[in-house]
Parts: sequence; structure tokens; C-alpha cells
Amino acid sequence: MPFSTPQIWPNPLGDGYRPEAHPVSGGAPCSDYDLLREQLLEPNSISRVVLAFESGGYLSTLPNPYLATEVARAANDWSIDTWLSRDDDRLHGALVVATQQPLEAAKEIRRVGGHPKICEVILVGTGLGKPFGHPVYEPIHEAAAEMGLPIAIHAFGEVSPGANVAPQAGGMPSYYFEIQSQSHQTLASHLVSLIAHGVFERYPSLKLLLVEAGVSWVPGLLWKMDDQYKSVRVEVPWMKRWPSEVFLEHVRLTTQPLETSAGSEKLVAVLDAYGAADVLCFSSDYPHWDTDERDHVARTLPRSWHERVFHDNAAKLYGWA
Amino acid sequence: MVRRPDTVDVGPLDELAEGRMRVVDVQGLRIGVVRIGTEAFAVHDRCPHQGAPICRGPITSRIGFEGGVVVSLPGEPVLACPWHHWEFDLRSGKSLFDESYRVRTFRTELVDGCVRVWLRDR
Repeated sequence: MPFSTPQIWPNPLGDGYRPEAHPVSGGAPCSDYDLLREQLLEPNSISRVVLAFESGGYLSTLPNPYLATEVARAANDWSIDTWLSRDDDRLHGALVVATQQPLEAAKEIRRVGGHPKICEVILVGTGLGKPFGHPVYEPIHEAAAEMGLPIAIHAFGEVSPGANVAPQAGGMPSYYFEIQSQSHQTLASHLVSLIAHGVFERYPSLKLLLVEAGVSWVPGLLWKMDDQYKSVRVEVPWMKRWPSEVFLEHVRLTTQPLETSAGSEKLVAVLDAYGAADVLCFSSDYPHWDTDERDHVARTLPRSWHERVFHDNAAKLYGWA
Repeated sequence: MVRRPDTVDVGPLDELAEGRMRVVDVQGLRIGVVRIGTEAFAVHDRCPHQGAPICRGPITSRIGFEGGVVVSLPGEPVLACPWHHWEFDLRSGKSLFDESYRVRTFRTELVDGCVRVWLRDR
């Protein structure tokens, strides 16, 4: 099911994929099962992988909400038929929903969320122009919690031409450089929104996974939220705990792209400041150009974190433990 | 273990396509050889960042900004990694942003119009 949107801020040096991820036989990167095994699963000794759609996630930015809802249904059926039904226990997948219609999205979560290989609900771009904690998205929160599925929010949903919010605060960017450097902005907005609206108070079992926005931006934001909790909690009386405490219990982050430019020692100090050893889940972003190799992540993070980052945190999140 | 030879011959210079890497495997050591004009360059096919097969990346030039215009600067060719797009000076192997990162380079010489790559320099 080919579905994609044109890029306003294209990668200046390529098509956004690893060259070798293009199947020789044609087709999109990561469309070939044997190549996936050869390039990702086997060299990295992966026991379980989450297939999370690619540009298909942008369906939440389609202007036509009915079309978006149908595309989401078709995408989920396609994923189940093409990938999750394979005789390979490693393959698991996200289900994608059209956030333009939260009630329909909730139906979709209940329709396919019970599939044994579906492990998360992925949101890519806010279909109604509000961050994902807003009560308009309550049906999605409720359905995900009911089905026992974490909600994953993927960065970059707002770079699609159809997005009804800017991809960054402060004005429209000019360059891919800006998009890449500030990919965490929208995820930060969604995170603060979900905490401020008390979503995790209403759904104590609900978990959130923030995907592909880096990991070093978190502690300052948590400290700022904790400061506000002390001062203006009267505005959000449903909040019963420190935002940083809610974060540690409910929120997980994928590792890619790991910000390594300052060196491992400084990065780990920043990560330690928010207890990241229990928060981070290894991700590769294969087949994209900026895929992080497992060994690169292993070299960067302390050995004492490896069991959690490469296994335990994700296993607990997805109920595989 | 068989010792690698000191040199490897990769054929006539004029049979190397301009700006297109030819990768040769010398007992497990993958070396990319490329012709730029009348010169041949040879580098280890491994990016120092995350181990990518760097010779699959594009060969470009340095980009500058002069008189309000983005320009391609003549001079030293640049090899960009196909994964994370880190750029390296093809002659020195040094990264364009931090010289402590280097792609291993090998000396080349022309012998009767053919390219010889020195795996051990003397």
C-alpha cells in the first residue's frame, strides 16, 4: 500500500535511507523480509522487533479525516497480513490510527489491538491541532489503556505538508538541520500535555513511548514541570504527583538518535539525572540514514545499563517480561 | 595467518571511473580506490563513527558560502559516509568537523599507468 507525502525539508545528502537497505529486486527500503533479517535482525541478535510503519504514519496529517481513517484500517490489515502473520516470533508491530477522528481511532484500537503481535498504538502527527493530552483525544487514551497497549508518539509527524501545527515552536524552519535538531519539540509538547491533563491519573496502567527524538532533552523539562507543580498546581488539581515521578512510572524513550557529540561521559551524566537506565529502550531506526548500530549504543552507555536498555525496559513496557 | 602483501595493484588508472569507488578485498581488508582527475585515492572501507561501509557514500567537494551564494569549492575531494553523512577529506582521511576522526587512507602511486596501493608505507 504505497502511501507517502512529499517532503518540504528533504535530507540534503540522500533519500533518507541507508543505500544498502534498498532491495535489489526493487521496492521500498525494509519491504523485503530477507533483507530485514540479513541487515537488522540477525547481525544485532534481535529477539523481538517492533515494526512501526514509516511515512504511512503521516496519515494523521491527511486533510480528509474519512480517508485517513480508512488508510489506517488498511495499513493495519496490511501489516498483519504482510509482516505479523509470518512464521517469525521476532516480528511485532504498532497499530496506527487516524487521530483526526478519535472515536474512530478508538474503534480501530479495539478492532486490531488484541492481535497477539500488535504491541503499541502509534501516533504520528496531531490530527486535530492539539497536543495529545487534550481531552479531545480521550477515546484514544481510554482504548489504549483498555487494550493494555502503550501509546507511542513518533517525532516528525508535524513535518508533513498536511500537518495543521508547525513542526517547531517559534516559526517555520528553513532547513532539514533545524527539523533534525529540534525533533524533540513536539514530543515535549505532547509529554507535558499528557501529564498536565492528568491522563496517567485517569489511566494508571497506561504507558507512553516517545520515539525518535533523542534522549538528552528530558531532565530540564522534568525540572521545569516540577517547579510549576509547586507553584501553579491550583490550575491542574487532578495532578496528584510530581511530574517527574509520573514520567518515571509511565514514560519510556527510544534511544535513537543518541546524542553523542559531547562524549559518553557527559551524555551519561545527563541521562543519569533522570534515571534513564530504567527509561530508555534501544531502537535502531533502520532503515533510515541515521540508524544507530547496537554496538554504537552499547559503547556509549554504561555496561550496567545494557540489560535494561536492550531488553528489560522494552519487555516490561510491552508486557513481554 | 597469511601476511597481507605490502601493495596491491588495482589496474589502469584510466579504467577507473571518475569519482566512483572500486572496492577491493585484500585478505579481509576492504579498500576503496577512486580516481579524481589524474590522481587515485585509496581509503579503508570503514567509517570511524559506526563502522559503515563508507565507500558506498558520495564523493563531493567542500561547500562554501561566498558573496551570498552557496558554492562548491574546488580543491580537495570529500568522501561522505552513506549512513550519517559524516564528511572526510579524501586525501588526508580527516573529518571536516573534527580532525581526531579519521578514515584510514593508503598511499597510491602510478606504475606504468596502473594504480598501486601501499598497504604498508615505507
